[in-house]
Amino acid sequence: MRSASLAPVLPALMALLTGAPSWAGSTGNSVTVGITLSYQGGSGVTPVPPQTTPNPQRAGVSFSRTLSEQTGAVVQVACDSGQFVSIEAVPGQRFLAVHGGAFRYTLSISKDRSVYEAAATDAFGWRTGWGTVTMLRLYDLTVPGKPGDVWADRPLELRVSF
Amino acid sequence: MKKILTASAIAAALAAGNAQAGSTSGTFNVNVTLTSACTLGAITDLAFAYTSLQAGLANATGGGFSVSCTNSLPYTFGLQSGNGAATPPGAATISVTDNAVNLGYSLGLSAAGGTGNGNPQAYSVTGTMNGGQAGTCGVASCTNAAATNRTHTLIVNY
Repeated sequence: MRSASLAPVLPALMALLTGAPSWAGSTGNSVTVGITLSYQGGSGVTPVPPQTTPNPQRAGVSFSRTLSEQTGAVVQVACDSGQFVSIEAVPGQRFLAVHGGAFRYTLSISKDRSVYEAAATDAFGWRTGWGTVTMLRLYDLTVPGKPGDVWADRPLELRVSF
Repeated sequence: MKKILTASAIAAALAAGNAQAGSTSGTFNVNVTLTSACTLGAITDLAFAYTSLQAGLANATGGGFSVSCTNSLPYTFGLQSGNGAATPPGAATISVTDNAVNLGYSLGLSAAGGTGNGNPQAYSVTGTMNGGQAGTCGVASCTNAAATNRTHTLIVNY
């Protein structure tokens, strides 16, 4: 009796069951999720200023390792902070080094990032105080090329690396 | 008499040119079977910019896509974690923990679906990342470029 009463219902149930997921088709595509994680207070890849801890009594003092007056010499200076300075002529030009007190290189003890960033973006960063190079005397041994050229003391390009 | 005979012969010859005995006709049908379909365009990558332990949630940028379906064809969207074979219909939202930077996020959809109109229809995959997560990064900034679970699947069901 029960089976007889269920018989008319079964086709309807089957239709419902088979009809539920009646998708004609589907298509898909991929999506990529990119994440950039930074730390609080961090600024991505912004370089960190050098953390120097100079001796208060000797801060900013650098010593020349070589001060040759030979033409083409490379002047190298090591500072007590560990900073290394190299001064040489631009390739292809002659350079008679320096003498008579040579130069002074001072390291800033400021840890203010704005000072560092200003120095880093200034083509003449030494003017900001983040390291100063002072030349007392330079010789340009380039042979005068035209009338009016001065044999010495003309502007001389240097390459300073530190 | 001779002229009359000649005229009759010409008339007979002209009439013989259209000498159809009758005509009949039949009809035929043109049967068209239209298979409904949808096409899914490329999906713009989602991008999260997150600062470790930030207070508020972060919303992803990107995720836009377009779908073109047969006129009047209803369709729905589903999401599926990973880029394996699609198993329709997918889920309305999925939650994922990135295995490179260890940040959890949820993806959803700007709409559950729509009805085709024969033209591209614009939608987007949305992404949110809860605040207060530390994440994992050994340097100042990291990306999840090396994550193996950064790609997921959008399914269009029709």
